[in-house]
Amino acid sequence: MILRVSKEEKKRLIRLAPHIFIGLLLLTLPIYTDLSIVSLFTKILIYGLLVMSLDLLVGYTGLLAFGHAAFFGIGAYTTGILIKHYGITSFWLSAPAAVLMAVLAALVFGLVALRASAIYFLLITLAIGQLIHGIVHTSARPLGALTGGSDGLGGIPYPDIGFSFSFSPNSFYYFTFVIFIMCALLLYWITKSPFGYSLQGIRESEIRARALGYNTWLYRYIAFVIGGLFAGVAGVLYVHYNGFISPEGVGMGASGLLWLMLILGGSGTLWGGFIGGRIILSLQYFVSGFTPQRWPLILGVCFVGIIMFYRGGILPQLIIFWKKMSHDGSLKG
Amino acid sequence: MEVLKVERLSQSFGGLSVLEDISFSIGAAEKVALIGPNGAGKTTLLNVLSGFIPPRAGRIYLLGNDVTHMPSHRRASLGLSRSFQINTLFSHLSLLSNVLLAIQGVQATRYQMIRPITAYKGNFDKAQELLELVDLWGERDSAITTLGHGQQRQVEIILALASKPRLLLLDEPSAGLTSGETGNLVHMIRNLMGDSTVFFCAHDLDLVFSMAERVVVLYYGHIVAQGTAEEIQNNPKVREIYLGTEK
Amino acid sequence: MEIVVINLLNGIAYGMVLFLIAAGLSVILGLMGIVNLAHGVIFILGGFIGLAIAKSTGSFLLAVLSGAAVSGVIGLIIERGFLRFLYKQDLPQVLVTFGFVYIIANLLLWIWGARPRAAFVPTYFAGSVAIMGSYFPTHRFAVIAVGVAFSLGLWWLQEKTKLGAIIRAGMDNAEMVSGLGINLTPINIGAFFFGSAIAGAGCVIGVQLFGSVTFDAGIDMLLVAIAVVIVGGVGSIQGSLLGALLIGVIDTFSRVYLPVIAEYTMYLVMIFVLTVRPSGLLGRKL
Repeated sequence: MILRVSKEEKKRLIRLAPHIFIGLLLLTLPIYTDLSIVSLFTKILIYGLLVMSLDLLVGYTGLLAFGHAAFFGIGAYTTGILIKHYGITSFWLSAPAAVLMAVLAALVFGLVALRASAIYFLLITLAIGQLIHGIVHTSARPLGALTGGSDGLGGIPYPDIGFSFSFSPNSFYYFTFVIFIMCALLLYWITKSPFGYSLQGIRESEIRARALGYNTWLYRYIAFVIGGLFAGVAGVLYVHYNGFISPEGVGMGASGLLWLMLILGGSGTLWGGFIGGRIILSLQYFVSGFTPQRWPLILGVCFVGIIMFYRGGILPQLIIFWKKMSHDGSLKG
Repeated sequence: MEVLKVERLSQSFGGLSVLEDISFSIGAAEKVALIGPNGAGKTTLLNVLSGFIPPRAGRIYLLGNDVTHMPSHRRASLGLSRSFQINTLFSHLSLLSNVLLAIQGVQATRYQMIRPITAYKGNFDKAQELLELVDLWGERDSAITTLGHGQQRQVEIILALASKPRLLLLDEPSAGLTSGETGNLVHMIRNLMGDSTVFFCAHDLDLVFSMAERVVVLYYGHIVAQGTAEEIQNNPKVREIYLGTEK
Repeated sequence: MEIVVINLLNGIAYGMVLFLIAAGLSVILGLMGIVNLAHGVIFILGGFIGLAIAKSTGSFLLAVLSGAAVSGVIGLIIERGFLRFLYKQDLPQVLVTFGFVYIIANLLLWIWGARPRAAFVPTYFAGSVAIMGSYFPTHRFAVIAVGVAFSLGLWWLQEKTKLGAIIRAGMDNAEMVSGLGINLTPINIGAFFFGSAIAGAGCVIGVQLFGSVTFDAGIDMLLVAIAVVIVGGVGSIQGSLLGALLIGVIDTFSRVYLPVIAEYTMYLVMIFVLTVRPSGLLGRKL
């Protein structure tokens, strides 16, 4: 008996196909690859989430947030400090607390940063990022003792989720995967919601949005805080993954890396950031194999090359291809 | 109650006085035009009324509410809507998205973050209605940048009308249009405006007298005449101002 | 008491070095709307070159000039070779300069290694001056003197020359200036070159204040320069001077008295100024 699939459903399947395919690939990863690849992909998922949170700000809202790594760092450092210095080892306590810290920071810094427009916003978020960097980098007491100063904070174990369960690299990969899916889904829903479309309108024309009744400042503020929230989540995952966090993960270098991933993959598409992150991290893994010292140089050259020649990013090209395949792209009424 | 009441409004840039002691009011369903030579302050007045520039002195009442210092977006919630002299559209979004955003701007659901925008069928239907009225429903998925200038101007006005405003401000609606396109535009506006109160400024006197019942004449920041279209056409002072400039 | 005076002088000397970096950044930003994120590494590059020249020739003057020249040329290459093609696209321009931060910093590491480059003090600036019982290095007086001379020079250029008038007009309204038939392009290029060159020279002159310079100091210096520009106000030379002195002094004092916030004091100042007076202390309203 032939299963008849309606044209509508066929289109939907084609649209979902790449997601399903990639999802299956990621799900079965530990089965056919070794630990170092699983580790790489754990990192890719974490950075994917981080870049997606940045994309919400940059691609959708049009906020040139250049210090985004700060919220990532706050999530990571708070987790580390709670576990190492305050003995709060339960994931169910330390993780929410860390994300809360990131959110609080975003609430406070958003107030300051959003007084500025465009280039000034970029500079002030850069400054905020360096401020956080300075706070975790200083060796002066009492901060230095808490954060480990320029040496960073190490010896952080996998999350303690109770039930006498201990993580292994593989199980932590799945743990990350689940959290990634949940967060990515949330971000996706946000971008497809009235709120998400309003953000895009504000990005396109702030004046028109105001004239139509949108409180543009409030939208940007909320977006900024949401971005900080998911960056904090990524930070929590990272510090458990890496066991270690240092100021390098917090400053301008780190934020710049995120931008490169975002631009490479294509901003304003959410998944673009994920793909960009995947490419950059895979490249880094590969390059570190034979010239780790030259990685920043290669990164810089890539950066300049991409901006000069291929600013649209890779994902939009892929999307155009898929749209042609499934005759999609419109908002269904 | 008047829809709009303006009391002794003044505005200046630097030391230059642009609006001086402006007072007038507009009643429900009235269509009032604002005319005056270039630089008379027409766009400034609209900017002050819509909250983009604060006045130096005076008060503005919208449907009885003192909106003098209210931010633009809140005036929109009260029923004020405006179009811009230069097309101010969401350029890289689709036509449909533009209209949806315009409809949504005064709805509480615009803050909703989880349900997709496609779930709000009512708004889609409204958008379809609007776009079909002007024969643009077929272009709904096109990005604004792909539309012709005349079409974009139509969209500019449609966005202002989409939320069914109580008071509609139009800033030089026919700016940059040929006379043929202007005719289309006027036709469209008259179809869509229903019994909204409309206050618009324009250079094209044909446009003015075909749409307005009342006319306010602004001359270098002062109101020098107000009255019905006929009265203004016959007003000697007004003819003097326009001598050599327009018909 | 003499400690306060010494620290004040240190702060002023540091401020002068900051001024040398920030002035270029501010003018470029004001004239062309470009935030040259690579400005910090260009500064460091000048220092590296200068110190290498000083080491091999023993001539301080040559060191300063070569540092300035190389920095200027690199700035020129970035502008003419890359930024020029991104005309009026602010964000891509900023991002390209960011890419160069990585490139130049890593090249410095590759060529010279990670060891800090020690400062070079010419014999005629060696030694110190006694002030109220304490000693203040002569070289730092030289730094202050250079800074003052430079500010006076810039002030004269800005207020008393036609070029200065054009530059000021260009910062206010570039379109109008070109509409008047004045070609801003050579001026923009010149600003980029000289801004970078001054920064490079500034590093060679000012390295003595830091003791040494490392390849990765570029980012820190960039951010200090940005802080100065923001505090003082974009496009304002006097603003940059004021901002530089303010930050120089505040930073120096906080290192002595409040070490726990010393590393990021200036960001706090910057954020404070941006909150209270977004266009900077003496800036034009952007």
